[in-house]
Amino acid sequence: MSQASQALLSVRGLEMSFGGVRAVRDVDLDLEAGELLCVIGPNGAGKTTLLNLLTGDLKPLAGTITFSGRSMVGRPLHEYARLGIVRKFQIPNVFKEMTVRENLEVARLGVSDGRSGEGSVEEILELIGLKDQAEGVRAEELAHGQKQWLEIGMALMCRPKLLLLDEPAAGMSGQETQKLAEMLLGWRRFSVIVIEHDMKFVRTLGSRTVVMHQGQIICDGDFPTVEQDPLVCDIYLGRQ
Amino acid sequence: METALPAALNALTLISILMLVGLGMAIIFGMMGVINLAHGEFMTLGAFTLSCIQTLGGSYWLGLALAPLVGLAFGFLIEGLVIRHLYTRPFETILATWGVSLIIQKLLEIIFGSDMQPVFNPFEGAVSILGVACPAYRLFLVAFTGLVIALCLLAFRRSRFGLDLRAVIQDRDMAAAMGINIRRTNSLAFAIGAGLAALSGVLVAPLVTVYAWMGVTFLSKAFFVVIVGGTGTIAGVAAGSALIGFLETFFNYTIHSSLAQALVLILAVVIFRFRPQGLVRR
Amino acid sequence: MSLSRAVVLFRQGPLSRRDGAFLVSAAGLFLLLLLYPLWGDSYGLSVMRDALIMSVFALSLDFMWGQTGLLSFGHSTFFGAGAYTMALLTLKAGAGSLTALLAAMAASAVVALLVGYFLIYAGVRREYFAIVTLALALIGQQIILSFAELTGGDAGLIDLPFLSFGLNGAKFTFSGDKPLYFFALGLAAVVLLGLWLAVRGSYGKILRAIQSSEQRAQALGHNAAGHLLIAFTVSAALAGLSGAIFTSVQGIVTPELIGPILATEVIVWVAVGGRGSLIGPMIGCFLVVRMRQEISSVSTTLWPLILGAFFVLVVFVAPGGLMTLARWLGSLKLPGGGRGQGAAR
Repeated sequence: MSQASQALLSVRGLEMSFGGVRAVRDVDLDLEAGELLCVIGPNGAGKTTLLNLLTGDLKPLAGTITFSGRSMVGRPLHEYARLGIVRKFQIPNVFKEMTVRENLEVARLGVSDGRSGEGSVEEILELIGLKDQAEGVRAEELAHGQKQWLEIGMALMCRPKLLLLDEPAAGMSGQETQKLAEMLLGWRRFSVIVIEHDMKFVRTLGSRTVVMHQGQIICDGDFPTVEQDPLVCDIYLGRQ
Repeated sequence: METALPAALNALTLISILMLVGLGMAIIFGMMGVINLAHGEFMTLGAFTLSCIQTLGGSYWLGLALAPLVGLAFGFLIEGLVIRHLYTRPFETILATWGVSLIIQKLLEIIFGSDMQPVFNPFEGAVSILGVACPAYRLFLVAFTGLVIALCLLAFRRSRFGLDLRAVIQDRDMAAAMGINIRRTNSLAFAIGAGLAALSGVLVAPLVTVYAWMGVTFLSKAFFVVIVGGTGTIAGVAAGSALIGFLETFFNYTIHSSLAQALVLILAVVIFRFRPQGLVRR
Repeated sequence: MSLSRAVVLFRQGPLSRRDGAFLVSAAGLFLLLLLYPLWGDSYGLSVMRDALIMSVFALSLDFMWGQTGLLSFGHSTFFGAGAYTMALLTLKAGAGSLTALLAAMAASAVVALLVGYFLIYAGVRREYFAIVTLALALIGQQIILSFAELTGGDAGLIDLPFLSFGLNGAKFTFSGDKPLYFFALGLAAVVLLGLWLAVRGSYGKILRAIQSSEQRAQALGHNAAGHLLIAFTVSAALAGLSGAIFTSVQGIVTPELIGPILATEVIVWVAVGGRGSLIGPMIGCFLVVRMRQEISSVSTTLWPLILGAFFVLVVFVAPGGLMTLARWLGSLKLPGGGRGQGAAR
């Protein structure tokens, strides 16, 4: 338990049900600062539910979620980003009528109190490759992949301590996926939890991986180990 | 007992009227997601129909029979002209139906003048229940409404149309995929809602002042009934009507009547805050 | 809200093309209005004066509806609340103009705060919000009508004291055509400028983001419900201010000022002028008020009929109002500039 007080994120006994179906069952999880974690598992394993519980979109039936020493359960939604938990949505959810730059600015305004410099918008634009589209293009006019990048950009603008990515590689080209993997591996300033289906992507990341099945965590270790685990192979037999 | 019985009867009367108006609105609102701000005007049309007929020498019963038909006709008309084109735009529907409401009110005013319209009560006098005098008309109203609601329930459960309606409420796309003619169902449902409102107009006419913009007060009450009671079920409308009707009658007896309305509004808002899906779950 | 946060939200940036367009049209409009007394007669001045005060009412609605997307369908509740508070305090309680004005704004703000808190924090939006605020106006009017001993009922109250403000012992009373006209003009200018400055920066962006996707804005750390409640309250306070001043200037208060017809009209002004553009609703107000005058002089029943038809038409034909036309003209040259902000819907 002494580890729990050091961990950035600490989850104990998390429970969630939908109409009698236990979507998340007695989940325990610890995450250090700067750690990259992948969560994989078949459809319906409870990955997205777990994510929703961590972002506050769902309230757990039981269990605790402690972040930076603070209990997170029951907090209003807008406090999550301010405390450093930021989410990137699976289906790009950007401000459609606003320009790319405006989207990023709104993201910055959510958490900053004016101290971050103007430059950060430029840096992010450069990073996500949307520098040319910053001014005149409305977010709804972007291609799907570009919207994903904008989402990532917006998440970064929030200066997260914990970034939660829900299937970030979906809809991206091979090249873009590569770029995303490099970015994720390069970020050490903050923790990242990635939920993914794309096994190739997860293999590229080769980081600590957690496998969920029917609401429970059945395996937790670095990717090569997890990949060899007989139970995991059982579940994935026939899939991927 | 002296005041309790008449008071209870008053409450029941109001609840009955609210149920009829609310039912029409629940069908239109709950099923089609259409907010029809002209719903009060269907009620007005019903009341005016009665007034016209009685002025021309006809009986109350003729009025009672004709008014729902008038409501139905106007319902079809408005659905076809206005509502049909705005199904995916609930907000614009509000604006458009508000416009329709104003137009109907003013046309009635132009045709009939802005004075009160004469309406005659078919049952003057009172009946003695448990030694207390109760207005006969109100007893009739409550009984008749009960009959109508029962018939509606029956139709809802047993008829082909009722089945279609329930299917569309449940899942519109699925219903369409199963071959239900959504357009016709919508049109018919809207018209029936209008007819019910017109019926409530006839029934309430002998009890209130009938004039061109009488529908507006019942409009907001009806919305509260539907919002508080929950959309999509008759039980919900009943619950909402009962609550709103009871509260308003109670407040009417104890405090100033328009403060009563304000209090009901406040309570409805507070209830909504804590139970947004309504009192009765779908 | 800390001072540094407020600075961030309201800091003024460089002028964009859209800003330029706004300033040019505003300047043009106010120049015309400034010069109007040179050729307008006494009657004309009083009409324009009333229209100017009403345009502040329109601005209050546009601020909320245009920026946040939330439509208060019974905004006349606040206009009327301000009007009656002002009338009652100055006439019956002998209060000074400034005190009464502040009380009027406060009264409207408090009602908005109370109702708004329960609605907004319950997630009530769009259609539901519109219905409840409509009910508010209906009930407000009923309350005024029933407490007739106090409010004068149907007839209202007359002989309200003029607006007068004291400064270092000296008293300025606003009476007479020109002083009242310029007072109204100044008021409209200040409110227009103030709202424009407030929303052209970061604060406006946040509000529009909330309009675009409330969930997304919250996920980024914005307290959406809080912002909406504040916008609603400020909008109500401004409506109350315009109501209070209108009634003082007219010298009379009637239940029409709190009723659904006025609530309907202000929506038409904003819709015709173009929701979100601030100056559009002002112009929309002038046009529609003028039209109402012309039509009412022919027949008083005809106007609500036309108003109703207007409503239906605006929905089917021109949802963006005048501003869509202006924007279309402007977009012939501007590459995407001027879009990306509060698209009318």
